[in-house]
Formats: sequence, structure tokens, C-alpha cells
Amino acid sequence: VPDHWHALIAHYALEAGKDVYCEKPLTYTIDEGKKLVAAARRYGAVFQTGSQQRSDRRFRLACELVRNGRIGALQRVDTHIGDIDSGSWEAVTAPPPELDWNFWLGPAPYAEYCKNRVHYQFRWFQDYSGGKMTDWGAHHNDIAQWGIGADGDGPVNVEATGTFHADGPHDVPGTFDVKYTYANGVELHCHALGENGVKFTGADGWVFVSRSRIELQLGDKNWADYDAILKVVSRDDFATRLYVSDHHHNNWLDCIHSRERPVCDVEIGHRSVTVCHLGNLAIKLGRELQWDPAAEEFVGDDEANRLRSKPMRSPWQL
Amino acid sequence: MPNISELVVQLGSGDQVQAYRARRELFQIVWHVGKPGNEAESGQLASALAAELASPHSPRVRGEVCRFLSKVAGEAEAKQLAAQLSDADVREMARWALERVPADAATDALIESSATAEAVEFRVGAIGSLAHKRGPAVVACLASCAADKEPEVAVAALDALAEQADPAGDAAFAAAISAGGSERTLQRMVRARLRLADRLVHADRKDAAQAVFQAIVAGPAAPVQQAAAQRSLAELG
Repeated sequence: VPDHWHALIAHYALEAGKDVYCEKPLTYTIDEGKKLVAAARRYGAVFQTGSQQRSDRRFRLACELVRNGRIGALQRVDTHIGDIDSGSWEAVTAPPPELDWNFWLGPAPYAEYCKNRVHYQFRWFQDYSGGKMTDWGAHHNDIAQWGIGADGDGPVNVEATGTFHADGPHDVPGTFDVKYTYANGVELHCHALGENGVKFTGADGWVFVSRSRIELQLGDKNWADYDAILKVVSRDDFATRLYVSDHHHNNWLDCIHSRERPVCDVEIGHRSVTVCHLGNLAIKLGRELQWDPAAEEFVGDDEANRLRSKPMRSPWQL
Repeated sequence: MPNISELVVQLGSGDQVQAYRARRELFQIVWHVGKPGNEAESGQLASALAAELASPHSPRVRGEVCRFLSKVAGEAEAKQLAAQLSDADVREMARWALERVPADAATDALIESSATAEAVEFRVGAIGSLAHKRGPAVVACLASCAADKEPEVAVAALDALAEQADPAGDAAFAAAISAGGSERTLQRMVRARLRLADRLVHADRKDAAQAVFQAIVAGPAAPVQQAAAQRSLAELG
């Protein structure tokens, strides 16, 4: 299911009384997320967002180290989520007979069929997705939010630079650097380039985490292995213990039985992908944006507020 | 300001790369012009784009122009967008743009389409766009559409009415639900009514919300809807 369909389908499921597991990125716009959160609460649904790094012990340990001050006062987070190439132009053709192209487009503006618009490649077209920013950003910026302790919250300021491919066809940002500032002064820097992963930097050291490794540096000492870190840092001393889930799907299934909220509940997923949407909007608008995370609106910027939602093609509405 | 007319002509090019470059540049212009304090330049751009709607461009190109206008148009351009609603090949993108434009003329045009458009799907779209508008005229239009004999129109109107968070709108829900319909239609109406109650809670109209939830519990609601209303009533105390 392409990203521009996620919220509609999830919303239909919620209104039918279903519990929902929705892949990341949870939404295509900020307002879609607000509506999903409201619907999930209205129906008492168990809603897991598919940002499965929350169920990976390395990411949890990294965030617990940060949240318990083991690297000193947190100053900065860097996420590296990848760039995209320009793609190549394909001829407009009739869609294959097994594909209902108009239905695939759904709420998106009508476009002629090209084979590179569907399957994995839809991510690089802004009518269907937010590019790398929402694709990998929904993973690593989600971990940044967890480590910062900003679930249910968000940054208050966003600045960005980015480039777009001059000749297309991929029309989402190709490369970018986005700087988010939180109310407590912590900065999140989201980069296209660099080693894929998340690095938290504090006053006394740093911790880097990715899907393949975790590394902790304190002063001149370095530990580059999960078990080695736990030999020198005891979890028993942690005042803040984070939600333990070791299997993202099973956590959702367990919560369906217990009716508790899963590790990446709908609001967490919504707030994390909001960080990504804010980055994309700052790149596009080319200016510094002030964000009010409580009201979930831009401060003093009518044009930016217009872009929190996107109209849908008839007859689709959320 | 770059030559907007030339860029719009290039949008219609059969050369995909040339059309992409024009689109890219127009997006860049539109995104950057709308910054706070830049209203004069933004207005000039909106005016230049709207003028292209009167030029003999293809429907696809005029649709794209509507899309650019959705980000910068004001009252004057909303009227030019509204004029496109009579063109079956462009009206969808005009409606799309009008949904986003914060102008009375946009709201008026959507109200008229909601009431008079012949194609059900387009009418449903226009009604859906009114979910993003506010005011007594919007509520009156939606309440009227909620009584429409076409179920898709009635349900769309109730969906949009829910977003108004206006307690007076509940009378249209009560009337539509009591008028009956298929089980599926009734469930969709109750879903919308639950959203209305939810919006009332968030608008701090708790007494009104409670009345709506109670009406849902007393009416023909599906078990999941009954449960949602009961849970909300318990939360409201």
C-alpha cells in the first residue's frame, strides 16, 4: 500500500472497530495523523505503528543510555537516512490489466501510468510519499524522539536546506540537512548523507546505533558491542526504563489481548512522522518555521499551515 | 518575477523533462513566495497564475495551475478558480484548490457545487471540501445535503457536518438516521455522528457531546459504535 493510502485505510479499519497495525510512515500529511489518533482513541483501538526499531534491543539500549544521562546532558542528535537518485524517465503506457490504476491513485491527483510510479518507487514521487524523509526518517527520527523523550511532543523550530533533481522524474528532495530545535534546547539534525543510523551526543560522550551495531563513547573509552556496553553500564541503575518489546508484531498481538498500548502507539507514530513532514515542509518552503507542538500548527505562517493537509481527489475524504 | 506564462506553456510540453523542469520551477516559486510579510509578491504571483486559467491551455495544464494556486490564491483568484468548476475536465483540480483557499468566494463556490453539481462523485468531493470550511452557510448547505435521496451525498454531507463541531448540526443526523437506509448507510451515518460528538468534546462542548453520544446509544448503532459511545459517555462522567 503506498503511503498516500495509509491514513484512509487505517481510518476505515478503525471505524469498523478493528485494531490496526499500520506500516510507517504512518501518514502522508500532519492532519491525517491527528485524525488517526482521534479515531483510535474514539474506538479504543490497539494501534501499532510499524516503526519496528522500537522493538530492537540496540535502539532501546541507546535511548535508555541517553534518557538516564549516561552520556551526560543530551545536546544533539544526528540521524542519517539516505539520499535518492534522479530516477529515469519511463514512457507513459496503459496500466497492466491486473492493476486498477485509478484506484491505486485514489486520493492523489490523476496522473498517467508509468511503471516507475508503482511498487517500491512510489516513494520518490511527492504525490504519493515524502521520499527518504518519511521513508527512513520515520525510523530514525522516531528513535530520536524516543531518546529525546519527546513522544507526544515535537520540535519548536525547523530549518532546512535541500536539493531537488533538476531533470526528474523523482521529485522529492534528493539530499537535505534539516535542523530541528526542541524546547529544551536539544538539536536534532537529520541528514541525507552519512552512515545510516542515529547518533546521540551528550556532554560526556556519545552513542551511535543502527540496525547492525551500537557504539558507546565516554571520554576516551569506547565500547562497540551491545554486551560489552551492558558489562559497564548496569540497567539496574537506570531510573528510566523504556517500554520493552522484542518483537514488533507480537507486541501488537499481545496488546490486542491485554488492551494496553503497544510500543509504537498511534500517537507516537503520528508525532514521529510529523517531525519528518516538518522537515519536508521546511525544505520546500525554504524558510525557518516555528512549530507549536501542543496546538500542532505553525506559528504566524498561514502558507505553511495550509500545507498541514492536502486535498484528496473525489470522492475520497478523511 | 520569472515569466509565469512561459513556464505554464512548458508544463504542457510533450517532452517529459521540459515539463518536469517547468513544474519544478513553478513549485519552487510558489513555495518560496508565500512567506510571511511577502503578501504583495505572493498576490502578484497568484494573479499571474490565475490569468493562465483563461488561456487556451490543455485541461491537464489548467489543472496543474489550479494546484499551484491552491497554495497562494486569495479572494480574487478563488473567483477565477470557481469559474473552472463548470469545465468537466478541470473542475476536479479547481475543487481541490478551492478546498485549500481561505476565501469566502471559495466557500461560496463549493456550496453551490455541493447543491447543484450533477455528477454524484464530484458532488461528494465538493461536499467533502466543505468539511474544511466553516460558517452558518456551510452548516445549512450540509444539513440540506444530508437529506439528499442519494446515499453517497447524504453520508458525505454528514461526514463534513461532523467536522463543523456545531451542536445544531445533530438535528440533520437524527433526521437522516430516522429516515432509514441500508445497514451500511446507517452505519456510515452513525460513524459520522460519533465524529461529531468527538469534535464537540474537543471543542469543549461537553454537554452537547453527551447528548449526541446518548442519542447514538439509543439509536440503531452497530455494537462497535455503541461501545465507542458508551466509553465516551463514561469518560465524560
